[in-house]
Amino acid sequence: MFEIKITDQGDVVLSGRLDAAQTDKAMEVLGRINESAKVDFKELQYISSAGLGVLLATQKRLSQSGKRLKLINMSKHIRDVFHFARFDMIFEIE
Amino acid sequence: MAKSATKTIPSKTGKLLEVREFVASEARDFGFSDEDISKIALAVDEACTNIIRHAYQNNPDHEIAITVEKKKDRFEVSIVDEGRRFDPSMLKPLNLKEHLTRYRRGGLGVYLMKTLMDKVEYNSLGDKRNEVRLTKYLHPVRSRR
Repeated sequence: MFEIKITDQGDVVLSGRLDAAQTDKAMEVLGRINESAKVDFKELQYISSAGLGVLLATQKRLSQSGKRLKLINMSKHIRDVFHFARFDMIFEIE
Repeated sequence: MAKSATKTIPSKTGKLLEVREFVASEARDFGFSDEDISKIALAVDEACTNIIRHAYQNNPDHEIAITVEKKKDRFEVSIVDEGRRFDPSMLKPLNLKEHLTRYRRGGLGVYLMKTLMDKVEYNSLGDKRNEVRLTKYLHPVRSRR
């Protein structure tokens, strides 16, 4: 189960498990983001490199217009995955 | 004596959760910490995802066999497919800066597997079968890495 929503403020809320089965769904929603946005990980239980790739592709697209994602409320487990992949050097994580 | 358990799944990403749960349960029985269980489950997810996407090119009509072997001091996961052979020597080492500036699919999963596990081996088993073998020691020592 994976859910992704955009709030009225234009931020993104993730919940559930973001693996390779869910990348199309995630990409479809993240593709609507055109401004800098926060991505709330509070309810996200799992992420694999497939999910990291979707976030990176979005960050790359936004950076072309000087915008970026800020990742918030990560659990230790999710933060560890970002660290192992060295993605903590790429994203602003609060 | 080694104890083993096997799970066979169709080559669909929708089956990844089942695989993670199977491997996590076996790793828990073996005595790993929650952190190591998460690492092993993620590494096996990455291996299966690579097989589905690259060896089977997203064709869901094939099978992947995941066998857990619990040995005295280590936990090995054998992941076998019959798809296109992966040659790890063809994969350039992951360059983070390049990955950021020129994102390309693939590569990150292999990098993660190597980071998460103590050993990652690619074997050709004959009969067109390929194996990725992932090993994690229960009590790793630095010299093994």
